[in-house]
Amino acid sequence: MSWKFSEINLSKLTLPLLSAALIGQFLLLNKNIWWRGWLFWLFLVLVTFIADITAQVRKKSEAPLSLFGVVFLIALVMANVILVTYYKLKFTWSNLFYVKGEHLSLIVLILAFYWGLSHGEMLSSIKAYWHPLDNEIADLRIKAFTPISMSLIIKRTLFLGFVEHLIVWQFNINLVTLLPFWLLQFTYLSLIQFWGLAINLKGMKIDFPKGHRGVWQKSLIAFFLIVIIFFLVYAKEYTDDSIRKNC
Amino acid sequence: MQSWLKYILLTLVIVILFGGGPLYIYLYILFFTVLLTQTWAQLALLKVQVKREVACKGYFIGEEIKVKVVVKNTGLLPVLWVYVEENVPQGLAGREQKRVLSLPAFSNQTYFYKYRARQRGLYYFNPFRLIIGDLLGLYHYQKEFGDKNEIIIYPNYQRVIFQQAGLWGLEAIIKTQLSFVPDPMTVFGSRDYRRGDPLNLIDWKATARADSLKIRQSEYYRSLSLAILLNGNLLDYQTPLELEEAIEVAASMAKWLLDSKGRVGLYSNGRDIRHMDDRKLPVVGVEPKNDPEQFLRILTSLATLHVGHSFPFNKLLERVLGDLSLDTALLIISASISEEMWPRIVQAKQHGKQIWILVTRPLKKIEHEQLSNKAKSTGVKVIIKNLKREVGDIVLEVL
Repeated sequence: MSWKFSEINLSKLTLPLLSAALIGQFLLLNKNIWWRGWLFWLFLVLVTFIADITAQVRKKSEAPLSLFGVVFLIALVMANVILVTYYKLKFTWSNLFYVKGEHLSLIVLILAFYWGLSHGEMLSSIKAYWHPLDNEIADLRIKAFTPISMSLIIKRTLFLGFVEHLIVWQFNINLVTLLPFWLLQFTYLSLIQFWGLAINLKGMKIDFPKGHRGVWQKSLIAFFLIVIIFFLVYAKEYTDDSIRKNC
Repeated sequence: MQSWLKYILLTLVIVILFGGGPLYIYLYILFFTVLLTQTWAQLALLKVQVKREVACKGYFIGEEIKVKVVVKNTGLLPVLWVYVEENVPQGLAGREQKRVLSLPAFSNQTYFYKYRARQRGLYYFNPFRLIIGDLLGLYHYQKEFGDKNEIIIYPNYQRVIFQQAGLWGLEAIIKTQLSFVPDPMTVFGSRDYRRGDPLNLIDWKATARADSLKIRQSEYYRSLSLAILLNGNLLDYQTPLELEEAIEVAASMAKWLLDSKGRVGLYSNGRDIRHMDDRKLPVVGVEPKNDPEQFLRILTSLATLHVGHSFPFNKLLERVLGDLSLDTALLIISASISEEMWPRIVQAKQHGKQIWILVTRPLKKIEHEQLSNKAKSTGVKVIIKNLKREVGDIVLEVL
C-alpha cells in the first residue's frame, strides 16, 4: 500500500490536535489556579488548535503576521463572552475585551494561543510539510528523518511534561494525573516520527512499507502497556511511602 | 543521540536539586524510554537479514538481470521501518534501489527489480545499506549487509560474414582450411563445382558422367583444432575501445568456428581481472575443445580480460607454440602486427603451423598494400575486419 496524500493531510490535523490535547492536559493540572468551567477549558483547547492551523495556513499562503492579531482578537472576544455568560454579567464594550479581575484567564488564553501558534510555525518550517514531492532529499541521511524543527517540537513537549511533574510534586497532586501526559506524549512522538518518515519517503518517491500501520500500532500499544504498568506500580509505592512518612 | 543524553543529564541535575518524587518518574520514564528505543532499534537491526538472488551468473550486454531480494526479520522485536539501499553495480545500468519495509516479528518481505548488463567484465553487487529507526524517532542505526554476488558480462558476439559472401568458393576455402579437414573415406555424394573449391576434391568419375565439374562431398570430421591468439595488450591498441572490438571479434570467431564443429581454444596475453597478480603467460587461456561448454569457457575468459598494459604479444606466441599440438592452427587476432611479430610468425609457419592473421584495425591504402605483400611473401593468410559494419554482423575480408 502506498502512502496517500489524504493520510498526510490527516496527520496535519492530528498533530495540532495532539499538541492541543497536551496543553489541555497541562491546564487541567492547574485547574485550582484558573478554572472557569469545562466550556472555557474546551474553548482554550480549541483556541490552541485554531492558532496552530492558522500558523500553518499563514506560512503556506505567506499571509501577513497581522492575521494572528485578528485571530487573537476574535479569541479574546469569544473568551470574554464565555466569562460574561459564566459570571452572568452584562455585555458591555469593555467586558468584551477584558472582564475585571480575570487576568489569570487572560494569561491562560495567551498561553494556549502561543502554544498553538508556535507549534504550527515550527511544523510549517519543515519544508516538506506542505509539499512532500518538493522535498529535495537527494540522498537519505539520518538527519533527514529528524529535522531541527521536529526535534525542537519533541523537546518542547517533553519540557511541558517536566513542568507538569514539577507541579504535581509541588502541589502534592495524585501521580496518576501524569499518566495521560505520557500516553499523549508517546502517541504524539510516534505520530510525528511516522509523519516525518512519510514525508521523507514521499520526497524520495518511495512507497510506504506494506503493513506499516499494524506494526506501528502494536508497538505503540506495547509502549502504552509498559508505561501504564510502571505508573500503577510506582504510584502505589509512592503513595505507600508517603503514608508511611506521614505516619 | 547526544542531544537526548544532554537533555536527560540536564533533567537529572534539576531533579537532584529539587529532589521531588514525581520528578524522578519523569526522569525514569525518559531514561527508560531512551534506553528501550535504543536497545530496540539496535537489536532489531541485528536481526534483519537481506538476501539477494540473481537468476544466473553470466549475461550478455543489453540483457536484463532479474534480481530478487528477501528482507528477513529473524528476531522477536518488530521492525517498524527499515530502509534498504543498494547502489547500481559497476558495469550494470539501472536505478538505485531504495526501499522502506515494515517487518513484524519473524517475517520477511520480497521485492524484485531489474538491471541491464552494460559493459563487458566481471562485476560485484554492492552490499546493502540498512537504516533502522525506533517508534519514537529518537535513534537511527545503520549497517552494511549482504553478499558481494559476482556477475559476468560476456562480450557480444556477432555473425561472421566474409565480404565475398556471394562467391561461395572463398567461404568454402576458409571453412575447409580453417576449421575442417574433409574425410576422404566418408564421401556421401557429389555436387557442382563452385569457384574456389580445392581442385584435389574434384570427383573425376562423377565429372565424366555428368560432363561438368563435380566436387566430392565428404562428412566433415574434427581433425583440425584451432587456437585463437588474442592480443590483449592495450599498448598495441590506439584506444581501449579498439581492444574491446578485438575481443568482440574473438568471441564472434570462436562462435563461428564452434558452430562449424571445430575444436577451438583461446589464449591471450591480457590479464585476468580475477588474477591480476599472476605474472605467468598466457594469462588467459582455454585449451582447444569442442564440447558444448567450450563457448561459455571462451566467453568467460574474454569477459574477465582486463583492458590494460600487459606482456608483448610476441611472447605469447612463443609461449603458446610450445604447448600446442602440431595439428593446431593459429588464428592471431590483433589491431596490427608489429615488426617483431613477423619473424616469429614466419618461423612458426616454417615449422608447419597453419597460421591465420585477423587484423581488427581499419587499414589505410598503403598499410593494406604492405600487409597484402607481406601475406603473399610469407604465405600467411590474412583477414582484415572491414569498416563496413552491419547491425549484428562482422564483415571480414580475406587478403
